Amino acid sequence: MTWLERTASWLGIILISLSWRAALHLVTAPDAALALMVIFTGLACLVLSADWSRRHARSSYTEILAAASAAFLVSGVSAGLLLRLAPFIRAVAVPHRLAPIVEGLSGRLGLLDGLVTFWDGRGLEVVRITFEGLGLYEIWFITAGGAAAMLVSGSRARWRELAIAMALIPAFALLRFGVLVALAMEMDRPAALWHPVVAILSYVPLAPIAVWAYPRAPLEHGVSARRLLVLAGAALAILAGTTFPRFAAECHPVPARRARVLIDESHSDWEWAGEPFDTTSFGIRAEYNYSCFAGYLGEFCDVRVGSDSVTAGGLAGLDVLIVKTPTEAYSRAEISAIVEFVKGGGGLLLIGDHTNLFGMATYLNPLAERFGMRFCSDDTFDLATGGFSSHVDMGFWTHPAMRGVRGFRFLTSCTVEGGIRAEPVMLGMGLGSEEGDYGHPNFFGNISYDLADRFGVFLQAAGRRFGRGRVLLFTDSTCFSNFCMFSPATADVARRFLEYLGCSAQGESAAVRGPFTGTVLVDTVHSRASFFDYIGHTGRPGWQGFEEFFISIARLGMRPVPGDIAGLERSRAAALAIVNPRRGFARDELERLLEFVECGGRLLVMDGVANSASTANDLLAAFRMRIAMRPVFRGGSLMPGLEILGGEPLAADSAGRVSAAAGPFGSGRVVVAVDSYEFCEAGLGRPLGPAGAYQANRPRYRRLFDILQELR
Amino acid sequence: MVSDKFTESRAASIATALFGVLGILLASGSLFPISAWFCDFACFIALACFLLMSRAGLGRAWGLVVMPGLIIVLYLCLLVQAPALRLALLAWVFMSEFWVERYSGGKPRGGSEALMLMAMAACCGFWLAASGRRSGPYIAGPGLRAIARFVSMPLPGVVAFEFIAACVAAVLLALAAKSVGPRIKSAGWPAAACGLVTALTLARTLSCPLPGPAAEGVPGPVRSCSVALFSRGLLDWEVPSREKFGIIRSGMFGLFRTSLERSARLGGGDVVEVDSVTTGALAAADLAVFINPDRRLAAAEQSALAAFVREGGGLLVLGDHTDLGHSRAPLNDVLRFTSIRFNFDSAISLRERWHGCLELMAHPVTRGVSDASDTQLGIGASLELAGRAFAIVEGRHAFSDAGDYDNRGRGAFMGNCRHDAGEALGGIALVAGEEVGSGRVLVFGDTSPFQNGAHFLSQRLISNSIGWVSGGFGPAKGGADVLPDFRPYNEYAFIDFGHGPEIARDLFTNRSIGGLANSLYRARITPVPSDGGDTACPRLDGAALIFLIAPTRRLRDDYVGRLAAYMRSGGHIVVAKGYTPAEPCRALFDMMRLTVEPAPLGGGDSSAGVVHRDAWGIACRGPIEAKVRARAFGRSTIMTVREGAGSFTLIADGRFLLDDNLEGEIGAVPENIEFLTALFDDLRGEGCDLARTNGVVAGNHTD
Repeated sequence: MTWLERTASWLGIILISLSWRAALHLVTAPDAALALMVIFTGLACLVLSADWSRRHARSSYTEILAAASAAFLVSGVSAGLLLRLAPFIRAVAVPHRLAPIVEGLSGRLGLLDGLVTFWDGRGLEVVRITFEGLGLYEIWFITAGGAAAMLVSGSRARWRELAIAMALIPAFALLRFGVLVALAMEMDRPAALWHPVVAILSYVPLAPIAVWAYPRAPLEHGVSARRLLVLAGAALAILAGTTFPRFAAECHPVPARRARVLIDESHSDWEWAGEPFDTTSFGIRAEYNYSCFAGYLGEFCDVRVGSDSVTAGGLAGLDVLIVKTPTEAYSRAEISAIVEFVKGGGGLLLIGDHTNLFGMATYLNPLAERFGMRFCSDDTFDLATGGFSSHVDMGFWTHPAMRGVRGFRFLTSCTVEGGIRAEPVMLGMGLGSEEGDYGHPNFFGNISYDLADRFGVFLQAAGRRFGRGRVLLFTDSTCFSNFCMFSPATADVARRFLEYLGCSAQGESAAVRGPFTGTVLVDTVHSRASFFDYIGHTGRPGWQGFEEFFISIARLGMRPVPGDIAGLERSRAAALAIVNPRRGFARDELERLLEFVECGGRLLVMDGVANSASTANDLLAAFRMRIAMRPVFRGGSLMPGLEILGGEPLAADSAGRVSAAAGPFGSGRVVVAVDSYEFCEAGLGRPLGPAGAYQANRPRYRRLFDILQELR
Repeated sequence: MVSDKFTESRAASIATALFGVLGILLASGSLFPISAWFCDFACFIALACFLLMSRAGLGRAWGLVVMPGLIIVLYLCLLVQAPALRLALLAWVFMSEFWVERYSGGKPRGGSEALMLMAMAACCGFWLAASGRRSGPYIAGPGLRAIARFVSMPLPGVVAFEFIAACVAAVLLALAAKSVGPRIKSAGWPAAACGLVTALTLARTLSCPLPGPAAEGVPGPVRSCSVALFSRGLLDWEVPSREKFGIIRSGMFGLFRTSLERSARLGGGDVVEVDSVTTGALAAADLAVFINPDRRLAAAEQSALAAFVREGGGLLVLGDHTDLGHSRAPLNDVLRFTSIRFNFDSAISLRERWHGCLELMAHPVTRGVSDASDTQLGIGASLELAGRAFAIVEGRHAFSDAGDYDNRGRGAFMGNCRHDAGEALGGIALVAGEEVGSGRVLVFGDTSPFQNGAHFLSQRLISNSIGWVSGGFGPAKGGADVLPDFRPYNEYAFIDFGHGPEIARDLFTNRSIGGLANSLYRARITPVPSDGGDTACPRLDGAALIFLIAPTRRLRDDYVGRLAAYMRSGGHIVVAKGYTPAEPCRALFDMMRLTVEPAPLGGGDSSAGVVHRDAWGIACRGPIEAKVRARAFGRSTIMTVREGAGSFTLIADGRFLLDDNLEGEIGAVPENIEFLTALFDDLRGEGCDLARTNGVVAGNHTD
């Protein structure tokens, strides 16, 4: 084999192994096209390197396929182990004692908390040296794939050369990191450090280096059957190693009785759980409020909000203690009492938030550190988009407590660090993490990746056994605030947290015992409206924003649940709301709706003039009602408007048009309201909007509450 | 097994493709200001590819195409990196020798120039010996690079970049050599080793700005000097005052004039305003200064000025872009007897604020000036040079944007600020000098470095300029951390830049400290940037104040000890720092028994009379006497502790002293400026009499 053939051979193995970097949601969302392209390029390299003389042509195919498959499968299987280890490797801190050495290299260089700082004459440049930046994920795949390819090849390993080759990898990683950092700074494109294409291309020079250090190629001496067996064994071992903790995590005690939960408010002046959320409570204290969270937990637990300091006596008889958003420190005695409580079999849920907001991390960490974990003072964002991050269900690789949860969106969490004994209950995939900027009103950074930031896989919720109990750390308190408690999957996550900590959710299947009188399913499939864009500029028109409408359902004591008509039975909803229907209704959907209302269900249909392709009448025809256009002259011009025909009028507008009507159908009732524009963002404002918005829009809120009352 | 020929043709294809890509990349360098190191790196890879191609059985026809292509690409590379290619290596060496001889008392020094030459020669020789007959490409790579580096200094960025690039290149070269053939196989490792040696030597040498030949041995005693200041022009002699806030509103050339007056008085001279240039008016002067004159000089005045310079006088001319204030013709009248002219244009850098775009020639004026931040050049006119005039500062990645007389008013006759066909690109003279008779002429195409806002950052350049053009006016000394001679006020405060502070050395950015400098000038204190880290501030004891603003590098114990001694002897230290990172000031805080609490308070609360941006609480460890100067969110945020005859003030807000919290280009936070002014008065006045204030905190202070 020539040097070039060996290089091509190694390049092929490297590329095939690296295809997982593109295929898995480690740093960026999976990109199947890129992964396939990398695989085919790798195969092409192997084909180029193979021996195509007539004698060996047939065996060459087998060899290429064996080497490629071995590299691909083993690097893929090892991804499970990587996912398990990656968040914890990060906790390996760079010792401060290295700082003088780095500073000694150049007067301009410094090292601080894992950050390399250097003075470039005009200001301080900061680069964070992270394992991810150094190529943890890529080197992991390459090492696994390369080892597999070598294992199946018939050549004998030369251990000395192999050791040199392995030692060269960290050196190459450092060199590559330096070049990428320089490129990123030169082009002002920090993304050069994590972009999948750059990441994969940057390992191409590793092939000639590998050949130089280890002058044997994977395909040089055929394939060894014995080694294939060894490889299969190793893969199985890795698989078992990554699987076993999953099964172990599933085995936790579930109390037979209804669990007792205490939400500690004695040290928290944020996310108030003891304040009401009703038709008269508005503003920050009503929205950053845990009454809905407590109410929801109350459906399957006995929930109490405590305002006294924590004592061993006070914790006696409890199953779960929830410590949320502390704004004051816990005393040593309180911490000891809580630790003893967990040791004795209690569950502890610690809820923090981004960037040490109000000192939450400062006050939570003395407690969390007793369990070997800690909240970081950072904020997270989706690396590729800079938007909110979401929980990614990785199927088999997801923690059992969270398996099947889809669509859960964080509203800027921090991250958790912990030892290897911490279970990755929620792994944030493809995240960027930056330190807080305390000059910013919300303490956020710039919510985009800089060279001083981290990226990759982070713990957004971590738990562990401690004594006979369990501890769970969750990093985004805002998710359980009233205004987004009923966003997709949020309530489910809250329930699963409690289950993880040892509470049974059996109570939920019985009659609702919490403060909510029923469930309203809000159809997000047929509605042309957004219900969950609470924060930030979404780009959608104002008349499509119905976040306040969604939350207002909870103000009336009903639990709003996002879903579609197909989920009516599953959700055991008492009512269904459809806003600005745009999508057509299938026959089975109409039949299901008719049956639902006939059996006592309530149906609310809201429509507006702006919904030009409305399908509301397709639905209402089945209930002998209709929405008709009825423009009126006002101020010398023709103003468009809608009127409801059929049913019993509930309200009329200033032009005398029926704007709300209700009609009985079977045991149930159909409520129709126009114009929905009145109850959208433009009419009611947005959650977390300016104070006093409620006062300005009070009449509209009243009308909305009147309509929603019809669903009770 | 595939045949060797097939392998080689594949290698040729790959190498050709790589070469093509790199060629485009290098050629694109003529459009974008890519860094020198990157260009060198690409240059090396291109050479390696070429080497591969030449061994891979390329036909003669290909060779005919590739060879000229290679030459064109390399030429472009050099052209982009070195607009001063015209100087060539020999000319550069000649110039270096010339300066060495002229400014070192006739004794050639073993300076960095000689070291560079030696390193290059040694490397080339070693390469030649190591690679045997096929030495050409090996020499071409490092040789080319060395030449490129020679003529395109100073090195931008950090040493590490250069080092990494060179290492990669050397390794690639070695690998290529190994693959090429058995005859030169042995050259691989020596080539790599040489690459390393070259990289280390050149990086270390070139990364340091060349010390000006006059850095040592210039007379110490203050020389008697009088200055004639032409009083007609776009002039504003105001200095920062307590009545006006905002950097732009704090006057233009008042600090420059005050510096001149102070230094002149120290030497027994004076600064005299003249409104007409006559032999009599200039008779007592050693230096004539013209700033944006708005009156053309008569022929007699021009003759008098020429005679003044020829007889040993100095002439400093400061102008601005595009005939601003119709000063171009008067400026060119002043320079009539020289070979320097102001162009009707704006010199515009391809990068913001000239960073990485300047070429600072080895000259006494640029001594201790390492990059664009030290020059504070903005948009000025380019200078046309002829005859014996020489550029001192050139815009390497810059273009001359032609002026436009139709763009009146706020447009200031500026052009479109884009590079158009026909406009000069690269090699734009921004500062130039000329020796006429026994005198010297120094011309700045931009007045920004001499303006009040930039003064504290550019004072080294100003000091050097006055020192050179007047022939040694003032007690000039070498070294970057020694006080500048031309400072407006005797009292000075060190601002520490040596411990990686999170502040910018530019004006009008979100990390600038121009507002702090303005506040110090208001208090008649000269702010002096100090770069030396733990070895900083050789005149520590003479400083009125020392500022440490958000340092990120650990203060060594011995430096903390020096600070303690400084305070005990009556010095005052002001530290602005939040909780993170905790390490740098830990030793200092421990000594003062203070600590910053870990819970962030944020900004916005102005209830205490100051406005914070990033506040944290302060707690005391044990009983100490402390004066709480500000509180926010229920916590102490600014506190002064007495230490001996001096004091230690901790502002638990790393951004408190930044421009957006004090004063920027126009906007200001008056309460914070007034707070600082009161603080300086308090610290400087009767000392920090803690016992007489209401804020006395004795005992174990906590909030």
